[in-house]
Amino acid sequence: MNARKKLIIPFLLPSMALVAVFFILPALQTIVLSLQDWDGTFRTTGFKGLENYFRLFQDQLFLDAVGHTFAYFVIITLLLFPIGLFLAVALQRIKRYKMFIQFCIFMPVTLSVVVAAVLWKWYIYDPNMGIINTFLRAIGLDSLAHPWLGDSKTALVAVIVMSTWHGIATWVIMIISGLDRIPSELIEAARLDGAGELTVFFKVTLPLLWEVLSSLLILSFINAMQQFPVIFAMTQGGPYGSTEVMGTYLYKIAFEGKMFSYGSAMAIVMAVIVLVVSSTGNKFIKTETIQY
Amino acid sequence: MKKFRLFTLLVCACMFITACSGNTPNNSSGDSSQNTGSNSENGFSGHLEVGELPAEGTKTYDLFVEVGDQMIAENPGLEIEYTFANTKARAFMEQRWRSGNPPDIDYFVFNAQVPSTHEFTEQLLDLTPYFEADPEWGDSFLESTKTVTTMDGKTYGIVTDTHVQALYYNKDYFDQYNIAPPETWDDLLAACETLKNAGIDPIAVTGTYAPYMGAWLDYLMIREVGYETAYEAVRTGTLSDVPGILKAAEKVQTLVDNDYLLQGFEGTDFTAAQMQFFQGKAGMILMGTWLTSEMADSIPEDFNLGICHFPIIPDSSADQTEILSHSNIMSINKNSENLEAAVEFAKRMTSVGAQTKRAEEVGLISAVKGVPVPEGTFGLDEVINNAGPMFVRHFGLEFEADLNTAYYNEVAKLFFGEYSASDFISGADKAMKSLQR
Amino acid sequence: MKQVSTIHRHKPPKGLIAVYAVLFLYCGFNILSFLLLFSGSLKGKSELFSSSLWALPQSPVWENYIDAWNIGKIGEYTINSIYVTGMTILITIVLASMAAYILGRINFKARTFIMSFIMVGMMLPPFVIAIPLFDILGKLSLLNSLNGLIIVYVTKQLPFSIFVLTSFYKGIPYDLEEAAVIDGASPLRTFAQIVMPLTLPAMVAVTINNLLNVWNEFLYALIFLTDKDIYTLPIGLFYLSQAAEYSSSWTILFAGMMISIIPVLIIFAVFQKQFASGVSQGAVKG
Repeated sequence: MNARKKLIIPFLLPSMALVAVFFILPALQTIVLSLQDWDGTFRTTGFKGLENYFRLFQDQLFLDAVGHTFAYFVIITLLLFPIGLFLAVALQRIKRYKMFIQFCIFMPVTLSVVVAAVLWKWYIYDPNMGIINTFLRAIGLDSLAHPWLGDSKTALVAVIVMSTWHGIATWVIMIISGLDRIPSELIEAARLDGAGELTVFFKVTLPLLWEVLSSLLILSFINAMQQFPVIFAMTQGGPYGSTEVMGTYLYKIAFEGKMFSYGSAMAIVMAVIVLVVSSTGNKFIKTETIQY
Repeated sequence: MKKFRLFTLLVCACMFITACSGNTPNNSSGDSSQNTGSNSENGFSGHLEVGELPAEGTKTYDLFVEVGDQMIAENPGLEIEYTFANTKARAFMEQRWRSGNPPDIDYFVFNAQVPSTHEFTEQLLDLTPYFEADPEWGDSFLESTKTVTTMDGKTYGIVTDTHVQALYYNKDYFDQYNIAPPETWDDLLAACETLKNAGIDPIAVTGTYAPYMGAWLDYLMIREVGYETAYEAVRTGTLSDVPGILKAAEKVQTLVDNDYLLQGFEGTDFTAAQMQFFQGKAGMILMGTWLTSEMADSIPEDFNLGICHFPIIPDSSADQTEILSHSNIMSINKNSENLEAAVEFAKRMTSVGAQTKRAEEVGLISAVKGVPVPEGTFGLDEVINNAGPMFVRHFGLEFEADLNTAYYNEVAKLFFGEYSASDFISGADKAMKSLQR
Repeated sequence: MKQVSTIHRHKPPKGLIAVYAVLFLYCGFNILSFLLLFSGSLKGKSELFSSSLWALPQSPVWENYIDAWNIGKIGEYTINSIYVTGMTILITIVLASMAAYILGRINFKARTFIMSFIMVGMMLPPFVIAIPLFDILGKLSLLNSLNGLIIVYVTKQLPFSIFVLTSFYKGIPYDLEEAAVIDGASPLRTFAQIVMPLTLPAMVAVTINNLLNVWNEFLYALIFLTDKDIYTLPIGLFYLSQAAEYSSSWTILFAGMMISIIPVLIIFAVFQKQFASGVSQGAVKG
């Protein structure tokens, strides 16, 4: 088997080189930048130490954005898991109209985020013409009709609901893949023991699905921390910052406000949060090799 | 085994494509070295990149391109590339200026009243010598534009069109309910009350783009204390030191408390708010004079549009003729490879002929002497002719993301009823003070 | 999957009707929103605002589609997006398979280090590298170029792809490979002809994931592409929506949106069987 060792370098080099040049190198440069003073036109080499970081922890808008990002994670997770599980299990069970239903579930993910955002902004959430308010008025619940994206109390949730709608298909795919790995004998055995559908689901399916679900939890966290396009296209952080997340605030600071050093410090804090939380989370999850 | 071969074939094909794709649809506009323009006696040649503001497909865009087309017709060796340089494209255009690869002509890179643009002056062409060489061109601009195009004796741009923020109203409603265009703040409140009683939302406003909403407060502040004072107070976070500003905020609160704003404005974006106005759902809208060209295709044929200055506050000691404006300033890259062609383009864009056409066909307001005021909006000539000193809108915060976000977040809270007038003063001061460098 | 459904044939679960009801409600909502968009794309500019969202277009304005195609350049953007996505998923799957083969099946000293080196890339938010990357790409003349974007996308998708594929390579029995070596096959041939094809289900899963990610990628394309001829679809549509805001040409935007959706929906409808089964065989482990 030694001949294979000749492959190590040529096989690994392309990937390693790409990751090194376009990922690790810029990441290191970001750290350097965050300690400098590059605001405005030309790069200066002025060393500022940790000043950008101190400023960050006094920046109320940033702290709020961190809070909103975590809220985003919690709420979207609470939506994605039950809905994803329901759709995945349902899709696996049903026989009639399966293709049609599957097609409909997967439709949203084929939309680009911008399209999905405009669609929801205009047709679903618009205070005067949108589906939701029209429906509420039609059934006499006028008092519940509401500028969904225009109220600081509902805007973040409204954005998250749209994001869930858009991204649910990926979740369904992954959960189905987990369901398929559950040996059917186990479920059959439980049924033969007289367990009801719900019991089978909660006592057999769900525990066996735990590994996939916990990976999805981490994925959901990483996605939430990096959230940008949905909010950028829907509310741009408004109304008055109530949907501002780390990603959109960083974009405003670094790319619209040209404060590259300050933006870099923000990016580093973001990376640290993601790395620390997801690696801690990973420890709780057993990693084992899939054997076929 | 068949599957294997097919697969290997596929992999090989991919690798082949990859290897050969070095220069497939790769665009190289980043490299302008091959486009060295020349200005021989034969006229202009080479490549000229022009940043432009209107969206492709609009009449304003067509008129803009027409100027270039004419140049190309006279100079067959010339090619002109137009690059959308408005709104969200700004960040990238500025990025290009920073990385030393700017277009030959761009907008928004200079405004004497917007401090954040001053970093670019070293890269911009000073037009003073060109004005001296061609005094006819130099003298063609209205005196008032110099406050935005000239700094330290140098002229870094020309105004291709200018806009004032003023109060548009539905003239049919005003006639029907016997409302005169409001001259004073009290007139405005009375007009609102009349409209409201008639079942019409008095004021259309967007809640999703805070600076447009904030224009009400901006205007009230300059009516109470004057532009210079308001500008300083906003930018330094010292609103509480100026008593008049609290009065302005209280006037906004009156609008909110009395429900004079469009229903559901909080979630209505600005296009939708403008449409609601033109569909007759609201009686007034405070907007820049770009409104008519922007909405040209969506204004119902029989709509009767009127405009007047923002109401005055009679007992205030500030200059009541000050107006908020927004001038589109075209600047030229000093290091352009095709400098003379760029200057020629600018010259033609601001010729009386081109400007008149823009005024007549798309209603743009010109800063060039002798160009008529666009027709079709009742009272516009009066607004333009009686305009006092012009000051840049949004206190020039537009291009300073951190200040802009912080300030207008607070303004939005006032409009959304989250803040009382005094909450707003302290909130805005706190937010702006924390950003002082 | 087969066995599961066999059981149900004998014992239809209670509440199936309720499940169908919920599913149909959900599907109805999805279809309705697509139909409304379609109807909006056929309205006149002022009609869009003067009529109710629910009203059908008075007379379909097909020019919106022509305008979206010519002025909105949706056709060009679609081709750009297909090029970028296609190249990215092809290069990624080849490079990732190579790396995963080594990392999953050969023991050598630096393996753990290299694995974590690559994995760090999976967790770094795109923002962390965006600012310097802009510089680096500029120096390499890869800024404002689709090929530059492809390189960035490949790098972005590699860590996840390698991660998933490695665990699959680990799980493949060694006897096949040993037999090939005994038969005298070169290591390269053993990899390309024997081992790699066995990971096909995983490759499908990884590719689908990459495809969805790259097709919809927004941030890097927004920052690194400035030339409107080479926008990808998400950016093209974004600017079209910006332009719509400033010229109230929403109907053109809607038409452009429909054009961008239709090919994807058709591809999806045609391949959805393979799509779903490929994924479930692939069993994504992320």
